[in-house]
Amino acid sequence: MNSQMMSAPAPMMLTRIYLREAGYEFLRLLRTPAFALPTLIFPLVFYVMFAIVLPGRWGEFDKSAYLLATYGVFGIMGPALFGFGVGLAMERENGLLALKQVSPMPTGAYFFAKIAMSQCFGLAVVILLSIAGVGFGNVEITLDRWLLLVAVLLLGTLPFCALGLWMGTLLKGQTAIAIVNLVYLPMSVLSGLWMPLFAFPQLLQKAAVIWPSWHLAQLALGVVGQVEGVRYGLHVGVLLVTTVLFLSLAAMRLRGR
Amino acid sequence: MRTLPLIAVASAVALAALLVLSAPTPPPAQVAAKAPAPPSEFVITDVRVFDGETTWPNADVRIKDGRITAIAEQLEWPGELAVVDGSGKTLLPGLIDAHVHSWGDARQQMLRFGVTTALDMFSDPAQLQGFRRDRESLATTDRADVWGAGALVTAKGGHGTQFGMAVETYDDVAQAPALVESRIAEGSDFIKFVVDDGHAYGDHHDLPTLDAPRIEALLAATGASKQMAVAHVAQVETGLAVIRAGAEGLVHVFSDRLASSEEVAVMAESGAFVIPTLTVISGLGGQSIGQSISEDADLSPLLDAAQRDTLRAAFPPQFQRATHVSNGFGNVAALQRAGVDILAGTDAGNPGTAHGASMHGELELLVKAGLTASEALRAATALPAKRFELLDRGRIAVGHRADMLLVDGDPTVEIGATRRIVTIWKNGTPVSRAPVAKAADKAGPQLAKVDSPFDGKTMETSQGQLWAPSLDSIIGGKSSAVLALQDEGNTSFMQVGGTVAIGAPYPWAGAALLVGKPPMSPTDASRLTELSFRLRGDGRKLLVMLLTGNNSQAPAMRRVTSTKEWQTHRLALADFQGADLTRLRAVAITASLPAGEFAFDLDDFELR
Repeated sequence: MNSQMMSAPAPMMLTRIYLREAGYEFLRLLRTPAFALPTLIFPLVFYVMFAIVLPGRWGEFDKSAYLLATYGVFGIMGPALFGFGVGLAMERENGLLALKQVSPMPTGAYFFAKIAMSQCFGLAVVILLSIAGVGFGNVEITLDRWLLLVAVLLLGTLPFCALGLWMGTLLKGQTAIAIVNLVYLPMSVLSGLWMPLFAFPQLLQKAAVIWPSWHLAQLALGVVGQVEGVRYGLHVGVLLVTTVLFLSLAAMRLRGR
Repeated sequence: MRTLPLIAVASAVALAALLVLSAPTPPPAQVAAKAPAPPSEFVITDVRVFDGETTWPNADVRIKDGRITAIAEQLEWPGELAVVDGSGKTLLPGLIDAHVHSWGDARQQMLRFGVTTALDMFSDPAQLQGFRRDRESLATTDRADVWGAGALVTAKGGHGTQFGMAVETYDDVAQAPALVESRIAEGSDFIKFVVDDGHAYGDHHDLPTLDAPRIEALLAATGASKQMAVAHVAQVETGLAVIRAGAEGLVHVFSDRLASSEEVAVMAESGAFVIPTLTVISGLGGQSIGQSISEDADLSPLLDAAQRDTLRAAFPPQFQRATHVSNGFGNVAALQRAGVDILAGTDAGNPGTAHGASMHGELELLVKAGLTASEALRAATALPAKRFELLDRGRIAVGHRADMLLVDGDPTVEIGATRRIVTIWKNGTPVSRAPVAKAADKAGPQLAKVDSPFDGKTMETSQGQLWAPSLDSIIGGKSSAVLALQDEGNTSFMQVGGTVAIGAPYPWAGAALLVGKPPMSPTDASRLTELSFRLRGDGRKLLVMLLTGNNSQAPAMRRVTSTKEWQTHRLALADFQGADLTRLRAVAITASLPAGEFAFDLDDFELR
């Protein structure tokens, strides 16, 4: 890529560049209501509706705690998939990517900015959900468990950043929004993020393992104590390998140009 | 770079492998559901059998499709039949509790302790059709079968009307035939009536009760309809009077004094039976066995929280008299010696009892009163079946229902062995004995002091909890209540007014304070000791209720009388019998029967 031909800037300047790019990306997203509002509001609204206004239990799951974990996953997926998937696709289409590539900004800053923004919005959603859950939904969670949940969810954005990135290299502009939605919503439902899988046919229950969101949800549910016997190592392994797989696929596409 | 495709392929393969490993394990519930169904045909071998009347030292018993098909000292059977080894154990017919009051999950609790059939002496008549349907079926079930009296027959204001259940009262002899017809139409299997003026509990107790003409008319009507009539009595005089008039049996032993030998002879000649209910007689005599039942090593692990609550409860002190015990036990001994049929019944549902578990206590008390262990077992099996014509129960005999109890040891010699239950069969299927875990058994968050001065603009406590109308409409009643803040001079208070209407079994209307957040959630009030409030009203007796435990638990209550002038009432929380203060949901102050309009004012309410 063009940046390889540039001499590496001094470290101080590098940090400033990274942070600036991140800052501008943040501003851009904030000024895109079509992104910012659904990302922040949808998970919160659904959570309030299904966990707080209609509280109760699903078998051995406590609804408000269960949904805090799973809507947390749903909430961090959005910024990652849309930020990368749609963001990259649109930038490829409208030439902004090419502009950034010929600029002195290192590629790293570009990715750092996008990842940082996913994490930022993801964190905002999780905090909003937690306020709703603990304040109004009677969720009982200790501070260290909550911090662990936040850490799990934030780290868990990475596989979706990678998936979004790969999708962004494949899709063009406007179609990206539709396709990303087509992946985001069914994957969320089929991973048991909106309601536990025991309500679904056996085949779909067994197939849930193919969704990275299912694995992340298991981790989150284990942390909030709604599911026993979570195989943390296995799920983390799956998410890690998923990230590597999609990153390499995306890199192949980007380098190939 | 060629490494990229390599990385991509490698991670794809690794991912596939991990996904195969991730296959979700089926939840335990699904695994348990695949357990094999119990066999419908099996043999119990080498077991001592008490068949209801006699003991077989060693026998084999064969069961098929819910009925006993053979019993002999040695049986032959095809090889592939399931076998239960009974060596060292005793097989008994399922126990029959001859005096219960059944509501909620009483029937399930009974079955868990080996009581497979019960005779209900007063409860909601709406249950009667269901009782009949269930006992005619041989399907696998988790509850005991019941024959019931439905609503009891008592005088206006008499014993039975104080529980808040709407009861049609018997005030005039002309009513007798119609009354009996109504009971039969509702589904009563026998008629239970009450002759008790309260004097057995103390001279200051004075209850209206049925007089001789009404008793005669009632027994004439039951005779004409071929219905069995049994009577609740507490005194020797009334016991003899109703037996002479034609009642078939007494559902309590008289305990006001010892009966004379002539009086015992009259009882013996009449052929009447007596259900002593020594469990509650002991409770009324201040010697409740509730504590020892809840601590019994064999029974305790299977008691659920609600049962521990009722075992802990006691009759109000003003009803207790030590002489009940000596009189009751003495009378049972005399009646037994004279040949009167004694049937085992606990009067479960009352304070100091627990359905099923108390039956084992009753058997022990009967032995203490003078019955042999075998006579006590007969009193709990073949004898009630015979007297109440429960045709296919109470005996281990060919054709009878396979309602059975396998216990460790020999209860025909040592009555306590009935508690060492190995297996219970109902309709030929083994019964699960674990109490169903109730999700709401956790204690609530700690409740700090609550005070409600009613000085502001809203009917809220200083801690933000709300007062709301408390109505029986949730159980189908028609009462109404309105709460309003009223000002009077310098102070304000809450006025509660409305109408108590007959409609639900337990009519009530008033005001409730929902102490939990969200409303009706449990709180832990165990550190609080007292509730106090100022009350002014129309002279009615009001009920102060603590709603505790799970949602279906009956509230613990105390009565207060409202006065025309303001009066401060202080009630210790410990005096609310049966309340589980670790799960307090609400406090209610309500009017109950008699029906009609009511009004009272409340101020300065505190829970501290």
